[in-house]
Amino acid sequence: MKISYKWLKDYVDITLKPQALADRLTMAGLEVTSISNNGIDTILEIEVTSNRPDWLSHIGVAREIAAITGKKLKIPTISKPKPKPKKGFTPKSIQIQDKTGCLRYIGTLIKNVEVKDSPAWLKKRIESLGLRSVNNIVDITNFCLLEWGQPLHAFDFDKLLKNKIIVRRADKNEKIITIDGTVRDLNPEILVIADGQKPVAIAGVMGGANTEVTGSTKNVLLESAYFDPAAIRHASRKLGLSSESSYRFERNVDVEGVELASKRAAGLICNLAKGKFLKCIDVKTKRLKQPEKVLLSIEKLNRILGVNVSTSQTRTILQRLGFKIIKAKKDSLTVGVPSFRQDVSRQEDLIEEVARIYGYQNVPLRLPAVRTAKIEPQPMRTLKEKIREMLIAGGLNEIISYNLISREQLKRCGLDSLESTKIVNPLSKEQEILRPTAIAGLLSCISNNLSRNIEDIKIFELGEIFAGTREIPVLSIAMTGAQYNDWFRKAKGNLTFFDLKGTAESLMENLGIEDYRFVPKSLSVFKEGAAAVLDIQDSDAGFLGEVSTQVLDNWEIKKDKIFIAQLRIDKLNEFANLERRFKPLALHPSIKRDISLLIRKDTSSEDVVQIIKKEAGIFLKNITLADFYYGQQIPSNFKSLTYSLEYQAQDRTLKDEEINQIQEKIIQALEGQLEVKVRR
Amino acid sequence: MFRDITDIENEALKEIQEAQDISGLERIRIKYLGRRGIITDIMSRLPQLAPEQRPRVGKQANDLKVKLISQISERQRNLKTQTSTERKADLDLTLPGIRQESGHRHPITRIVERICDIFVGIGFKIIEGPEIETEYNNFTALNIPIDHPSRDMFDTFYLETKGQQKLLLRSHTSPVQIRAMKKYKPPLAVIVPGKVYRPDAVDASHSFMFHQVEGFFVDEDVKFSDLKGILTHFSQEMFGKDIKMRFRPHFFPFTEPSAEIDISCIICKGKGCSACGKKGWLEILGAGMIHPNVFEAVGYDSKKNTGFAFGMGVERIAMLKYGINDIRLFFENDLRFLKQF
Repeated sequence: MKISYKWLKDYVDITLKPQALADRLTMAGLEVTSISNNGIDTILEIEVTSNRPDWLSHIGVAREIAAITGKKLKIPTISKPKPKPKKGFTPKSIQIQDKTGCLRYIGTLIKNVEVKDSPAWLKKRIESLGLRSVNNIVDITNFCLLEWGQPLHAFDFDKLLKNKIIVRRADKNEKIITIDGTVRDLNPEILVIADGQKPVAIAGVMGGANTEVTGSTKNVLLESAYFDPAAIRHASRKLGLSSESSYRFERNVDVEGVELASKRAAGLICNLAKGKFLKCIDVKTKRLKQPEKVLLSIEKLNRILGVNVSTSQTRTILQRLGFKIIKAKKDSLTVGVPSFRQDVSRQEDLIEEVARIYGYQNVPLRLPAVRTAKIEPQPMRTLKEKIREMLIAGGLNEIISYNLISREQLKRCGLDSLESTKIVNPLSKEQEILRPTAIAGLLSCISNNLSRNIEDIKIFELGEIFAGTREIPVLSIAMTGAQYNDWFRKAKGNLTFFDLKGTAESLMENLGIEDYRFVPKSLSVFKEGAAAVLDIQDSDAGFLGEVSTQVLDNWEIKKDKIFIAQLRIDKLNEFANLERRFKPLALHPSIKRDISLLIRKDTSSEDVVQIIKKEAGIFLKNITLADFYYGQQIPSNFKSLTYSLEYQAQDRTLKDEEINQIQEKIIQALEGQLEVKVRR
Repeated sequence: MFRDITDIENEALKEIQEAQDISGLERIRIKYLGRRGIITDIMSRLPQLAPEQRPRVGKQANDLKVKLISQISERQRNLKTQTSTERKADLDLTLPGIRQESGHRHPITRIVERICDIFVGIGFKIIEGPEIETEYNNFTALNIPIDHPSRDMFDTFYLETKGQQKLLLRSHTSPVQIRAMKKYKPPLAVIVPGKVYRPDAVDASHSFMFHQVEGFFVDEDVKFSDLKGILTHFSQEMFGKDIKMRFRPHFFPFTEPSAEIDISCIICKGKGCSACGKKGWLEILGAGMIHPNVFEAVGYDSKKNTGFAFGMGVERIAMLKYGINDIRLFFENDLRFLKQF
């Protein structure tokens, strides 16, 4: 909101220059965001928080300045004009039918006005603050709005049918043409000002076109009212219409100010538009709140703030702000809250008032002893940190992608069959659904980087996916590109499925997860025969694989050999064992033997390993794949595997004959259960 | 008949010094000390000398033999050292080392970790909470009435759910305050990092999904001066001991008194520039004494307990600390960006 520095001086003595004034106001809670000087006057742009509607006016700001500087507030004198009788305009002429929507309505009748251009001084004041000058009547209402923060509206009295004002909710099929020329549909939730027949204004928001004050208006009915904030807010939202008036009504106007502003405006209209004041009808409903009284303990004030303010200091501050001191004791004050401070209802509110005028900068700094109850351990957090450490050490880069995606992105992954929760009020397609998969995030990131010629990508994300309204923590990983980029190892080629699998396996090992398998499975998103599910003790913990060409096409990713994984962190947590326990080092040496065999291409090497482990028994300390080969020199339907077995006993050195026996046992089992040829 | 032994000595020593390699040295040894070497030959022809000459010449020859053996040995050692040095000079040591490439933490993670470290260091504990929340936890319990202009500060995404209660994506991490206080009795000092969501058009300084860190401390006698002390400590740890700070009165429905905390602009040091909108101050935190209505909602006795709460936008802090000028960079995940941290 714009405030004029010159105009403020009408209500309070200001010796501070605009910048200094702005700083003082800002440090008291009334933030001045910019200052502009147009040569004649300085305009302050202020940002008013929603709890201080009393600052939405020059008098309100002047009151604040008076409180801060200790100067006196000068409220303009309002003359009390003598009413003259007017037939047809009686207290019955104004009816408040909706007693919750409107708590007070003052209708002032002024006759024989001369509607014309406003005098220059009035035009300047209005225009310097960003409002348009219309005519003297309308400008006066705007002037009072800016002066008091009270929205006023002027009707052409003769256009009000039956000379009545009824404050009610609209009927189902009623419409109104507002002053901007738009036809608006009304409904029973919207509060309107109606005449004897139809709505003539959307209460508190905008006036109707046909009762507007024009050059031919002779008699003016001036409205000044208090409308229920919720009702105005609702109408404003429903119609998508807001104004300086609705803005203030939504935040609570001052019930007393309704009367002051009304009188002020009536006086100005009589002065400037040669109008003759006739009558003022003031309808109040019983729902008007009684003035609030708050008991403030000075001891509590000082205790909460950590300062040492005296009772008399407190008293001075509150009085300067417009509060009344009803009773003053040595250690407490009973404070009367003025009608323009609906935000104050308890001690804490007064404590804030004292604090901000006393100055937050004058409150000392204290470093307290911080105590806290014992908090449950957060294992998921610890696990995520460990996973992050591990993957970063492994050369992967952490990404963060959006948890809201478009349905189209899901389709591109070939996963539109996944159920997803919709967002009711997205701002764009990009925010349509809660993501049920992290794959879109990975592919989106890959696509972005490839389009910037970054070809070697190793990324991971510790994020969430959503199943219904359940949040599931997931680890997603993606890799593509060269294994190595340095001059020494570049020739080694590109990343493969096994690099991703290896990363996952290292992760399992680091987390102490035993008993897991990667089970090949056909999964959408991945190439046929290039995907596997992670099974930990018969529990599905995620999947990995090489992304299919179709999906890559959908994402316009021109590269191939892109590997991604999505693992459930909650499952990893379930089976992780971060405890370590020492196993005594073997005293006796181990013995290494190889087993070399040819197996059918479609036999899984895992089956071989399982058989070897079973037959070897407890003396098998370790088994590693030493060599893998297929191609020339071996039968076309076969592949060659060489396993290095390490044997060891805890209590002795195993003898050659013992090991030979075990090897023979293994070979028998292999040849018996699988179609293999063991190279002896 | 006999060459002068001194001559032989000079010649032999010269040859030894000039020997270029081990095999050359071996040839010299053989030449002088081998089966048919010069010294060997002299020793064998001693009988041809007059008897009174034999002891003198014999001793000379023997002395020279010993000396030559020693010299050859030493020269051998020297040559060995020299050769290995020469071999090393073949390697160009200025070639780049072979690195184990390290991955990078996302800058948001770094900042969240740093923020948490600072508070954990003075006694706070970390608690996380769900991103999907109820209207009660996100608004009502925090003293934000549903039909009120103060709600505009916190516009939210609502979820389409089948009947049941209204669910939304939390617009701040403050709901976890409610959850924590309902679960634990005071005293309580908690820090809450997490993702939050607001329906904002995405531009260089706004994102519909971002991160916040919320914190609060409730005990029997917590003061506004404690709030100032702790947040000053945090700001200095984060931005340096020399920054100036400003506690400005503000309004939040869930705290009273409330404040916004500014630090002197780290770019222009308070003079005013585009980064701080010419103000010279950068807003980094919102805070205040927890409102009694919030205590009531969680079942704390506001007569026995007081506390303060604070919150900060992580992206904002990161952008200030690292000098990043566009919030979208955090979520585009361009590797050229990520690898800078």
